[in-house]
Amino acid sequence: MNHPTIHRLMKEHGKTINFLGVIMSTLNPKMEEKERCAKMVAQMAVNLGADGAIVCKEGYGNPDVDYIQTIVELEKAGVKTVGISDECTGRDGASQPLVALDERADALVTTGNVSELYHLEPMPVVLGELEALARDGNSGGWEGCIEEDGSVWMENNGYFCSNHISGFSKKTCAEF
Amino acid sequence: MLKAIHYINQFFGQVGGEDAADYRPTFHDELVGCSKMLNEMMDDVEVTHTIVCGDNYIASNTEEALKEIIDWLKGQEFDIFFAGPAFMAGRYGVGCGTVCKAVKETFGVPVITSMNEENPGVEMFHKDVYIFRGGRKATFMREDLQKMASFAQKIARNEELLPAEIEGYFPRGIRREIFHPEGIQAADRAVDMLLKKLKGEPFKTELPIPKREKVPVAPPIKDLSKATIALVGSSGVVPFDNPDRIQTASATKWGKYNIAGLDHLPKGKFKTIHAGYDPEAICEVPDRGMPVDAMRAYEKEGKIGKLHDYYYVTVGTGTTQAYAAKFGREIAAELKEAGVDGVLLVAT
Repeated sequence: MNHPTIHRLMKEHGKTINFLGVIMSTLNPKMEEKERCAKMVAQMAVNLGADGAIVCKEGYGNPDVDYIQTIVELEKAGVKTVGISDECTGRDGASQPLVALDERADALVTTGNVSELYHLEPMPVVLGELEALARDGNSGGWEGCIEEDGSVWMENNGYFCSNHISGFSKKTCAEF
Repeated sequence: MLKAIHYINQFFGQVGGEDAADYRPTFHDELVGCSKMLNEMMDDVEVTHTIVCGDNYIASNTEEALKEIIDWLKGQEFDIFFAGPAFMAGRYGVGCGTVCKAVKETFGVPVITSMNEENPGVEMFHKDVYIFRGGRKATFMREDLQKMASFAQKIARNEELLPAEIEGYFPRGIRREIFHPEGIQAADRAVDMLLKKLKGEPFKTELPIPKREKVPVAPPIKDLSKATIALVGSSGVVPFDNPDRIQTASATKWGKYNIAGLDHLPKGKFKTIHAGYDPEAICEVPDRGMPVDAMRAYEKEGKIGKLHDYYYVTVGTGTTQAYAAKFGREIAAELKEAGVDGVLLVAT
């Protein structure tokens, strides 16, 4: 499996840490299911004897709740936890970065801003149809985001999953 | 070459100290005081004018002062606006912030100032203005001006503006995506952070969660009948002529008033200046806003040992958390010094 965080943990295995394995959880729309899953993850981690954990998130928005809740439950159970996720601070960068926040999530890696605005220069060769970004219900594009000269305005969203929250991202976010 | 205009207060504008704090804005095409120093620090930005304005004038007559300043600026050509540095001076800091914010909203130019982190202007304006981290007092003038000047130079040269922490200003509540400065991928950053956390070593989160300040509850008073109790409140009840000129809203100061020998606060000698509620009932019976009468009764009954000779008051409407916390620290220090055992914090 080509998962950068697992690869790095495998590398550390037997040297700095004892890599116990991976706990898979599900993303559920209902709050009580989110809470239950977060508690189950923490319980499994404790049963495995984990001292530490990394939570890799999937998606953003609604999954922020699962992300923070899982970190909080792990911390409550005494498992020292780091989270990897992107954030969504708006085109002006001024919005709350995650839907849910908690002071106990004190070790977070951030991989980009879903709503960062990009301007892409015109390209001599375009594969497919550029207008699709504006037309096809794509997140990150909107009507009029394609300029006449072929340059493009879009949100990071339109380059879906470019924040690589499994851990590939070489981006981060900073305060301005 | 970009043009800039610099705002300073009456003190740094060499008009005078507290006695000149009501000084109305004046506009100088010959640079005044620290404006000269600021101008000399920049090759690509020229400071063309200094605006000098009294701290009290801008605080108490904000609308008028801003109108005078903005109207004058409309006749000027400028690309950058500077104010301060204001160090720890609270009113000066708020003045710098107020003017910078208005200039930014009207003209859309970069606005740059500098304050110490304890200046309440930081909390009030860090989201609107580039406020550079400054020293506590005027001995830091050169250093603080240098930070403002270097940043303006970067703007003039169209250089990339880096994150707040690197440039040295207070974060404006804006988070943006950047490439990791050392090009390390997130997986490695996460594992490195976890290893530090496991070992109990210091680590730095990339997404700080804003902290809620929790104040520990003080231990209970053992014997109330021997305790000295002080009255503190935000009802705006002051002696009739409001001697400390506490503002009717968005207060930047508090007052303390002697009540030794008074059984209650007599109508006509005390009143409320609070602009956040109908004052009639409290002006009729000022004790409704600062219950000296009730506390005296408890004193006579022996329920409390003594009512402290001074009550402390400010106006609570529109007052920022930063100023409220500052007032709290200052008042608490005085009460502690005076040997007061407990405080009745009266809500309005």
